[in-house]
Amino acid sequence: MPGHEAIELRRRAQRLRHLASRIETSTVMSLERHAGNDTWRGRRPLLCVNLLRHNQAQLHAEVDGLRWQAYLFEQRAARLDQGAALQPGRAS
Amino acid sequence: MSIRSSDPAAASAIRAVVLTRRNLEDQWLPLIMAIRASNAMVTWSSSVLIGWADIAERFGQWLTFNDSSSTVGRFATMSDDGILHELYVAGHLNTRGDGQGSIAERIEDGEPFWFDEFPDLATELATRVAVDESFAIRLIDEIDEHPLAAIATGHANFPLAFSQAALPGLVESGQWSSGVHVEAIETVMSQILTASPTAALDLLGDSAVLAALAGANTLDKTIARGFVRAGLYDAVEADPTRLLDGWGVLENLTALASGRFDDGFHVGLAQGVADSMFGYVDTLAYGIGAGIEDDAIRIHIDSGDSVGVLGNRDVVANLFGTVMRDADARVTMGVVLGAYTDRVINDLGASFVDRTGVESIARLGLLFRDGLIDEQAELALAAAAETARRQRIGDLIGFGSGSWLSATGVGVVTRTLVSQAVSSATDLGSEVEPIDIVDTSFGSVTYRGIQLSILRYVHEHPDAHADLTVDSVSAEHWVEVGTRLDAIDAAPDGVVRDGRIHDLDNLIANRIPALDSLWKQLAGNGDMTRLKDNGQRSADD
Repeated sequence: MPGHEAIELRRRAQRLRHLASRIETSTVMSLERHAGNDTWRGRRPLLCVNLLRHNQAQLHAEVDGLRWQAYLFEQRAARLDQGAALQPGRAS
Repeated sequence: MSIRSSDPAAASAIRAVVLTRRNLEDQWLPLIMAIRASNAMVTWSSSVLIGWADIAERFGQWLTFNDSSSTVGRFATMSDDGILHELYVAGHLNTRGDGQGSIAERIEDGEPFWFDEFPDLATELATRVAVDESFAIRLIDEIDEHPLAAIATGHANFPLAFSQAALPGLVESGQWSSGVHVEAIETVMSQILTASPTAALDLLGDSAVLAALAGANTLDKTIARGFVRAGLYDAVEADPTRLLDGWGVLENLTALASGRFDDGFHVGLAQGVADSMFGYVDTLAYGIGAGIEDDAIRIHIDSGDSVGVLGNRDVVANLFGTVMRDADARVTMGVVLGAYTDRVINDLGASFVDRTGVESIARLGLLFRDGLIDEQAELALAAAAETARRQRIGDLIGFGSGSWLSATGVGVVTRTLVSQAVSSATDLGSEVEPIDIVDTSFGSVTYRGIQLSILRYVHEHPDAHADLTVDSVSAEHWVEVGTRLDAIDAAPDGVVRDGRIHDLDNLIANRIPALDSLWKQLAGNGDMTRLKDNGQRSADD
């Protein structure tokens, strides 16, 4: 049976994956589809779109980071489980 | 977009979310609302705009809009070159010399362009500076050509970093005869001193900025005083680890005082330095004592090892002399010394008998005196110091730890107390008349001040009498001493006061040998003797 720390790590991993999905599916990630030349033109709209793309790129990177961190948490949880299994009497 | 997480591993992602949300609020939504409000849009399909509004609401339920918010002026459609040209033309068509007042006054008076367009121009500049780093850098690089951009910082929400970066270029351009330039500098300095004393200290730490301010004769003295005080005092009060940076500024000022500013600094700068001395006098007094061997005044933070040299005794005396060329600064310095005298003696308690703390006051007094160039200035300094000491405002003011021994800087000094002290200084300056001081020597007045502070302390602390070996003094004599001290403090003028001091001296010398012995023990030190001898420095100095 997994220890308390391993359970907590898996819970955190799950929350990080959920957060990554929330960010990925948020409207802001597809907002640029409504901001082409058919909608508006000019320097200021261009500035808005460029800024949005920059933010989207940051968010994509953060989503990747969240999933990577979730993966590391799960790896650690697995190692904790293995360690506990190798120590007789400590597995709870 | 209600996305939240309290997991530390998600902190970076949440920051990115917040940044995105802020960009949408600051850039997208105002533009969408402006388009919706535009009359031109009635001939255009509104379906997309309605969609925008929906998106806006979904993204920002935390936002509210009204019809009056966010009008985007004609400047929004201009190129960078176009908007800089607009700035250049507007800035060069207006000076304080044309009789039409400052830009701020024109806005207030509702003048065309300034009232109805300049705020939009300022808002557009603030937007571009915030989102376009290359534009911000270009504007800072060309700030001496576009002082109006600095004035705009007072009328729109610019990043503080922009004001901070713009100031060096403005002050170093040396255009102190240009009204618009001076207004630009004053606008930026006012913002910095209010928003970030730390930034003010950083800027004062730039020796070129400091030199430019020292000679900025047309700069508003109240703003300059506030700026210097914010940097030298408030920033250090908020973060005592910046005390060394404050001393760095004083070190640069010492060099300037020995050079082209020997005749005096800008009055606002001088007054700001004097105001700030409440936070530095503790460390300075320690440094004078610690450097007595080789005549160098070093900087010792928390009484630790030396972390720098302020200068030799003569150049440091010249620094304070240069500051005290200004009458208000002189009064403040006098109050600093007088209040410090009272405070140190009370903090030392019975241990003043070992003389080290008392000597530090004497040395400080001699240092200040040696910077003065005329008798009138010496007299005013003496009057302010004496009045401050007599009013015991040292009790209201913290000097770092309150003890010359620890020299911990200004951490415990509150802004309120220092404001009271500076206010007291101004009041005292207006009250004190030269005629109030009979003995015109600053040195002897300081000497007498130390003497009276010690007598007052001993009188008020019977528990210390045994340690001070004055327990043989009779109760009647203590009553007599107390009555005479009160009478001295209440003396209506200097002549009466001097007479009463003389009577007290005689009483002690002729009838209270234990007190006489205590005072002779304290006064036998070389620095105290120099103070008594009209503050003259001895031949071997």
